[in-house]
Amino acid sequence: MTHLRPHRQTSWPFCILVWAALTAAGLAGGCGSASDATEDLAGAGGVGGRGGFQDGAGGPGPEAPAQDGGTVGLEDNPYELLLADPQRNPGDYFGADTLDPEDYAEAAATCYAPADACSASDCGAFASCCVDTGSCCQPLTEDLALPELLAFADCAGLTLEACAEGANIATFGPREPLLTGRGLIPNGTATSEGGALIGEAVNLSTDRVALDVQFTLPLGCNGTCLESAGVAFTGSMPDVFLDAAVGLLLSGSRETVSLIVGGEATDSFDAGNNDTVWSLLLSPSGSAEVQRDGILQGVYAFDSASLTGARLAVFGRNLSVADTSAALARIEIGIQRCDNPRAWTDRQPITVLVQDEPVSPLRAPSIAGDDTTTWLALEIGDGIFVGERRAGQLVVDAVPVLMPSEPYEALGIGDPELVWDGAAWSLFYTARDDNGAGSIRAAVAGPSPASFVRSEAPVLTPSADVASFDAPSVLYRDGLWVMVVRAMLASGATELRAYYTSDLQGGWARVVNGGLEPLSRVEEPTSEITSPSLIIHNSAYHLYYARRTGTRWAVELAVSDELLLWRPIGPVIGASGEGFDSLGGNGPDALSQTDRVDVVYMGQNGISFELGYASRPAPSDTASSIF
Amino acid sequence: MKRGWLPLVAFLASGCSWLNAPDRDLIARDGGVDGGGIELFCDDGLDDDDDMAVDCADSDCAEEPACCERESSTLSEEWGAADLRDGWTFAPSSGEPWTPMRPSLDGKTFVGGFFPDDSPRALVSRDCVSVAFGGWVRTTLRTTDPMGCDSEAPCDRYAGVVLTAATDSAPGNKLQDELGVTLHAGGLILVTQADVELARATAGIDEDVDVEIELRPGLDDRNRPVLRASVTVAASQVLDGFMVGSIDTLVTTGDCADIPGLHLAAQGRGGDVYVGSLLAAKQDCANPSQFDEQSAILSAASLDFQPSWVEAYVGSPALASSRNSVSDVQWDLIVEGSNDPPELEPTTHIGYALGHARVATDEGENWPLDTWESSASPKVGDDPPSCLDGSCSANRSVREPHLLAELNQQQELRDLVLSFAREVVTDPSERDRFGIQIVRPVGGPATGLSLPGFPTLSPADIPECISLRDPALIPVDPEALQGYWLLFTCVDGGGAPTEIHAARISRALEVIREGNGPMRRVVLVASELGPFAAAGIRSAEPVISFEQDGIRLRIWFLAQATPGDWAVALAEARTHETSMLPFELPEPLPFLVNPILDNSSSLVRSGCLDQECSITGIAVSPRADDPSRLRFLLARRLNLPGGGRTDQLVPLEQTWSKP
Repeated sequence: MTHLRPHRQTSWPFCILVWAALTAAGLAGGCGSASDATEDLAGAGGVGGRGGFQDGAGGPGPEAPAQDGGTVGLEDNPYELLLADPQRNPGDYFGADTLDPEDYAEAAATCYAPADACSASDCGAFASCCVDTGSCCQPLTEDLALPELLAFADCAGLTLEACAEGANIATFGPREPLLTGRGLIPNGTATSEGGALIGEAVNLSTDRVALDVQFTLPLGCNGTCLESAGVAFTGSMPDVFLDAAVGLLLSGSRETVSLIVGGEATDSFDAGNNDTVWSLLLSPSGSAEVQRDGILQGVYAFDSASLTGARLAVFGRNLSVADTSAALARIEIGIQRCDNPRAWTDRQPITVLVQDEPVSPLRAPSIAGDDTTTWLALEIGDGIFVGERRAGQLVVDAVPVLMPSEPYEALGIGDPELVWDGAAWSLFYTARDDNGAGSIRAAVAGPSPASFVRSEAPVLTPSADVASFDAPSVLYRDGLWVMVVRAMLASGATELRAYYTSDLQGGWARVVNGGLEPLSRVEEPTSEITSPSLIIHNSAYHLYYARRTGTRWAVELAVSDELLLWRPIGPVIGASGEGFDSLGGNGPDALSQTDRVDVVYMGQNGISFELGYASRPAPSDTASSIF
Repeated sequence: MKRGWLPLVAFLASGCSWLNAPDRDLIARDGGVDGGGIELFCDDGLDDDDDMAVDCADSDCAEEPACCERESSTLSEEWGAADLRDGWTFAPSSGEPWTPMRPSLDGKTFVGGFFPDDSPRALVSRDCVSVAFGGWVRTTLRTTDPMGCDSEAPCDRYAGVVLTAATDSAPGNKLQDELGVTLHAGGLILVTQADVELARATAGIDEDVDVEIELRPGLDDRNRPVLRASVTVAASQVLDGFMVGSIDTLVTTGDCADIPGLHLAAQGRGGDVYVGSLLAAKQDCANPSQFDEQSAILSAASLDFQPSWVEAYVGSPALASSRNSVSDVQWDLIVEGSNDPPELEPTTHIGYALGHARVATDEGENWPLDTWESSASPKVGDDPPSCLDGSCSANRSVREPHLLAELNQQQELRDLVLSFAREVVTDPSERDRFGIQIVRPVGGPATGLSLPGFPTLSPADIPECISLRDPALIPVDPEALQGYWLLFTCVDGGGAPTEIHAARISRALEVIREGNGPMRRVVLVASELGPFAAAGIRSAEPVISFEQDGIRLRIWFLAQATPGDWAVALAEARTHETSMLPFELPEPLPFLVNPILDNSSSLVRSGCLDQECSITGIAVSPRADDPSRLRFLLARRLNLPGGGRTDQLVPLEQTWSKP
């Protein structure tokens, strides 16, 4: 068990008083209006005047995330304003004393530092701990791939289809499985497994499946019979043997129930009796937890990543007469959908059409959606184009929405970032002057992303230690705009930096002294980090970005609750081994949808980079909330 | 024995242990040129054994990929062929056709003149060049006209050599360069990756510039295998030990199916800069991943075993080679078999027995497919060993044999020592508990062996292990006068086995005790080996050689990265301290690139239904007629059309200069 506050002991009444006092003082006012937020931003001391934020002119440089008692910028930024979900404050979980930045940082460090610590129950305070941990999963209640209950022992005389609530059934083996008062008798023989596949395919890389199983033990086995009954997921169609990827098997002769992984008995447990309830909890992270009558027997590893289309099989062998055979009496099945950031489906190229003709090369895709349509912005040639995504294609207007025309765009424009704030479209982009220095600019349009008008003031211009900015990613939520850009430093190093504002006309404040800069800093020419894409999903910030290692690009992910403390997840889109993204991908741009995340990116195949799309299921409303 | 204990006491008193050393730096130093110890790491810049020779300068490292200097040519192009398209792809392949010029400069043919100059153009080798275990690329570059270009800046006319994973480029773009060395018209030479400069040099105009890229495998800071490059330009090293990338990003198709590699390309743009002959070579030192396939794939039928005990399964081979009385090469093969398939194991208890086959061949000859002399019934165990109706419930399994051939100076058989796992049960609930039995003499195939009342080593002797499997013997001296180390897999009951242990056995085949239990060491631990062994290890198969200056112990074993996907891996230990072997085993270190053979290897998949076979075991033995040759017997299980499984024993060989 991970304890979040190993050192400090503060009494609850005192905590509540502190919390109330701070709230009254307005520090929690970040949940209020944009103008309120602007005042807070100004108070935080990071906001420049109108006309753009001159970066790097005096704030202390970024430091590594605190693992040693530091506050990782929590004292230097209005972190409650920056929370990805303003309705959900991790501090409320800890008690008011964790408004103390040191406590908060310590708790986050405890949860984030080891790869598996986040799954500790206390760490549920952080919404970002929902990602890649098998936590915060969402029970599936509609269009279920598997029946919720298979009460085989109550189905004597019924067909298997009827017993399985009409689920798809495919039997296998030399003899039909039997349903008797003992349950389902798989009816395999000495030379061939018998049984049935039930239901539809399940994606074990995204879904957490819980099986509660009751077996009926064979009678008169005396340690020598060939009586078995099991339930398992398989990735292939059974032939003579079922290739059980992960499951439970009752062996009559051994008087054990074994956990089967990869076709082999990984561990075995005393079979108990007919009332014994066996639980097998399969997590997308690849852990298989076995319980007997609610008591944990062990946690084991299985290859969940390869089981994207796993079928549930009941199987076994029986040589005895039906009234003494081993059987499956009952199976209860629960399926939950979890956030596995590597479980992308439908990785596919997108054809970009201009006047019905495919066009390439292109780069730097940005995806955004209004209430009805998904739009993409792209760099094609010298201009920025916007198009509408339709079933594997992107239909782009022949006329670019933006072409370089201003002096500060002398060497071109690029890196479009399309943002819908609920009323109007904004287009952020990189503009390069005649020295090649990049600044971040913006243009705005009405309810249609077509006629963009440049904003007069720059969003970010380089100064001091920054030689150039590029690759903006911007999101808008509840009156707050948040931006992550890549900064190229005068030293030649690059890093990602975060900014925020409540008023696009009022300038942007930098998130200072947080963990993003050290996490993303690159100083060697053999590597590169760029193309940040920031979204809020399930109450957490998800920052996708592209990392080049040698010649290979991969999309990586880091998550955060408040933009200051980051939990790096690592590569989430890498080489697929075939097709347009066989060697990797870069240029990601993500879009949070209801219960899924979509991403567009540029697939790398060694010859060129092509636009692609991927999607993955991800619950969007399961981060536990106190409200 | 009394004499032998004194050094042990001294060694242990020094606080050092060859095995289980928490830090390899703690291994005892020999303190001199002729002392003990070994250059454990051949690329760490340290003199690990204090013999005044660092890394590759130490002969300990001569065969290591980090130091090997022997070459085997993989590509040689003089640009003289009438049609270069036979061996080269002209990239970009889309767009208008193009052909490079091939001028003769000082009597040598160069390739260059990459026109039209609206795009970089390249000749990309159709064959992949294996480099994963190290290799070299050599060429000569030359610029003849610097007009408009200077020696300090890139120019739009250039040519060079590129190592690439791609076979084509897009019009207007360069090849994706894993590593490139490019000469620009003004004389600037850039070494690049992903078109980013890594190093630079300058060259004279109209002068040949010799370029060599040396590639070596190594480990990164997370112990993952990587490829490193050093680049020499005009005899000056401009790049040293640069990490090109992970081994698993290399090409694994075509000519690189067995040893991953890259394509080689001559790339340029415009005229006046040229690429001379291109040569590539791979290391020709010991390469544990490369096997010579042998004829006569064996099965239970070809070995003439009776179906009654081997009908459904044969595997886990043990192999020994010796010379017989007429100087023919004699091969002894012992396998485990069953009349029921092992896939039934999770369902019920399956019984196994051991069978013995023998064949003699002329020196250097291969095995025949038939004419094996074999035991009519199991050499050890019951016939049938397994039954599903309970009629043979008293039968006990014997499994996983290992043969150690003890030879005299003439390589004639002195003794054959057989070890195997033996089921030890007192009631049905204890099924699957195994101990280790060691027997000598073994006799011929027709000689049956009866079991003594108790196994040589019992799980009751080893509290951490509920079952002892996969035995294998290592002699502690060339004559095994002081006995053996017995390797075995420790099954601890918590999933797949993750540790291989060793127990000390006397010449009389008795367990040597130390304190209250057997004298025992932990030899291999899965979690310390790398991702290839993350899900478990088992079945050690050792080969030890006693050299004039020390010993070399190689241990092949099965490892799985994910459950159920067993592959063959290799670890090696070397030491000058041969006198310590009766007391300690040197710590085996995993080979740089493991596994050396897995279920996706063409050797394993060849001839399998849907190219799906699984590795079930491996045996290794030096050939009696050529101890530099190691013969392997790979056991694989195949799917049959229409369902069912069968087994094959696939003979393979490798040459080791010092086996």
